[in-house]
Amino acid sequence: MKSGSRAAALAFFGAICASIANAARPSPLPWVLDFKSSVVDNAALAATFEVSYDELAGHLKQFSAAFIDARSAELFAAGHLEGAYNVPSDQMESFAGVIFQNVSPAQLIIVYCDGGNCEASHKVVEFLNASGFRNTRIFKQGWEMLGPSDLPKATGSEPMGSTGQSQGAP
Amino acid sequence: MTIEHHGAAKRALTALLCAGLAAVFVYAGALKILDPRGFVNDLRNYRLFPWWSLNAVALLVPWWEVLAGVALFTPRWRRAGAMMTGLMGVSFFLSVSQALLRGLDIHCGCFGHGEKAAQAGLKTLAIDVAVVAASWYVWRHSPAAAQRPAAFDESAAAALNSA
Repeated sequence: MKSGSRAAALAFFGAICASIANAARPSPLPWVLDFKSSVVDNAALAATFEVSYDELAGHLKQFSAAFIDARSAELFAAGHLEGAYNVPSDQMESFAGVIFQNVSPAQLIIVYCDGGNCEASHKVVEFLNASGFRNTRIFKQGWEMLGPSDLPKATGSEPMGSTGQSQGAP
Repeated sequence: MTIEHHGAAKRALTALLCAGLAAVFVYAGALKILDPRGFVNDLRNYRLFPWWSLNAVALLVPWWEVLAGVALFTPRWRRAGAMMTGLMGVSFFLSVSQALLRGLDIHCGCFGHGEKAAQAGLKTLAIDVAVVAASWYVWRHSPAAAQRPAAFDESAAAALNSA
């Protein structure tokens, strides 16, 4: 059992190393997440579930995620990421049906809103999580960054550009 | 093959497996230590751990990987390192298996995080099985500390003297 106690000593030493290394980080991770707080209230938890612009662009290119635009229907119709579904945060129940029909609960879902400090995407993520869609991410910079970007976009009220017009198409 | 040759082959294979396991675990652990938030994301996708524990797991496991890998290079700690890599290999295998059985299409999170990260699949399971097998071999064929001469046991010596 000698190697067992040595392995336990290694595990304990690992915990000490992890504590020191984490404390030395510019923004240490909290060891225990406060799961009673909402995603919006817990900045550390929210930061954990964000995607970068490059990750988002990669998923859009490879069709490896579903996209949800959490802004109002008017703003969505004026321009959105190509293929994105519209689920306005103040009308989630009436708009979410299309998600339940077309998106698998296991699929990665990336949600965006206006950008900056908008909370719409957080509300939609909480709603999705409560509905069984737990593989969700937030693109915090939102339309503020996506709008001027080179990513493919569409206009109109339907997803996948079926009735909208792709801005990249001739 | 003579007994000496057989022993030398075993020692060479043990050393080779130690080096391979150590390289894999130190590399994998170092990548996760450098990007703990990415590893939290990967762990979350497995839907195996409660939310409150994700950060703790993401902070601890990479250091256990690195230390187990380093221990494999040290004869005195080799069996402990092999025990840790074996146990981690079993837990990785079980984690990936449950993800596959539940139909989760996720990155394995084994060697870093991001677009180029490997998907959790049968290849990941095969790697985990190889890790467990190699760990078992190293553990089995490394000399245990308990095999050192019993003459150093002072209480046993005292008992013999008093008899």
